[in-house]
Amino acid sequence: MSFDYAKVKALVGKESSAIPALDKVSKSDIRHWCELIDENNTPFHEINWEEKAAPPAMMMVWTMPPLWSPEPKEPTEPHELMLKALDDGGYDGTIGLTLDQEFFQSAYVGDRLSYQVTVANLSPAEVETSMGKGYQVDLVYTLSNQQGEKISRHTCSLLKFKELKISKES
Amino acid sequence: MSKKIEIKPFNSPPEKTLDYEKLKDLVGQPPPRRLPHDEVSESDIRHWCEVMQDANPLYYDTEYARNSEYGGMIAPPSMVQTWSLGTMKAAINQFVHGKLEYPEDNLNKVNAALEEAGYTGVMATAQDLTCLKPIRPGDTISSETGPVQLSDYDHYTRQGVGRYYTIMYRFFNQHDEEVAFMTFRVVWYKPPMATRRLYKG
Repeated sequence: MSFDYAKVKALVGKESSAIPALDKVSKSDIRHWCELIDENNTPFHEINWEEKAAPPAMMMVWTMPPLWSPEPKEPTEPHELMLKALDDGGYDGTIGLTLDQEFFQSAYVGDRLSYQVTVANLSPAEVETSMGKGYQVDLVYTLSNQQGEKISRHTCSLLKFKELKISKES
Repeated sequence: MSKKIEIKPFNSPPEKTLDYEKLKDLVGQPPPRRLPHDEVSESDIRHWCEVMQDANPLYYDTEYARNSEYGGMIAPPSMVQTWSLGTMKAAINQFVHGKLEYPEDNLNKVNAALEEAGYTGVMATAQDLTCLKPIRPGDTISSETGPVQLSDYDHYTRQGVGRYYTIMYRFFNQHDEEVAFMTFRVVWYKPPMATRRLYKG
């Protein structure tokens, strides 16, 4: 439960290597999404996929980490190391604060995206919130397609906090 | 002291029961073939393997699969029923609003007749899947679903009086080859009074 602030602060400004998406942009995932968000029931064989771009708000879906993997991956990238260090330091609660998304280009079926994460900021001191004490982490995700063109940028802030333990006596 | 006692008959009033003769024609007919809502995709296969925690490299490792006896990536055979499922909207319509997507299907007609006759409980008893051909990413798996067997008399089960009922699923790919078939046996039963009270709370 030790937390070395200086060591974690040193990760700020570092950029990860390009992490490939686990799946290509796929018709079935787009249809599932549309079904839930738009209540669109069009079967895949009635859609013109040459023209249909993936919904932009779905951009983060393609780069999500797996729920389970046969070979678990150790954290190696700066943002992974930072979140791991905060978790180990007892700041194991996570809550999203803000998410800004910018879209430069569309993703089409068959595209294989990749992303880079930059640790933009770590709050200089513990912030006290009603959720508990914690640190604010700002991450910038840059998504590119297989041609290396930047298609989207996401800036998100997370609060990693120590969950308040309320004992029964109090 | 001439209080009148109401005399009830020994037998309870005859309950409605199912007339097999009326449903005979619906059972065993060739069902309509339906297209899936999605083609077989690598991402759906990966999602399935993640949730099932299936580490078979045939399902995700392209290089390994190419050198295997299948000569390429395949889908988990037990996933085949996925492509016969209806949409989320159809499921909400069926289970929340009671509106069926295909009320004219023999399967749904038999289900409705059973429910009307008081067999309101449903319990799955057996499922057999036979896989004939590998399914590959990019395939279009159509399905045929219909009733093939129905008891013509009541069984006395621990759940209550019921009828066994077998549903046959057949799956075809885009080349009209049968890739798998599955029988699914359920028992539709009349929940006894004790069960009904339990459900009512």
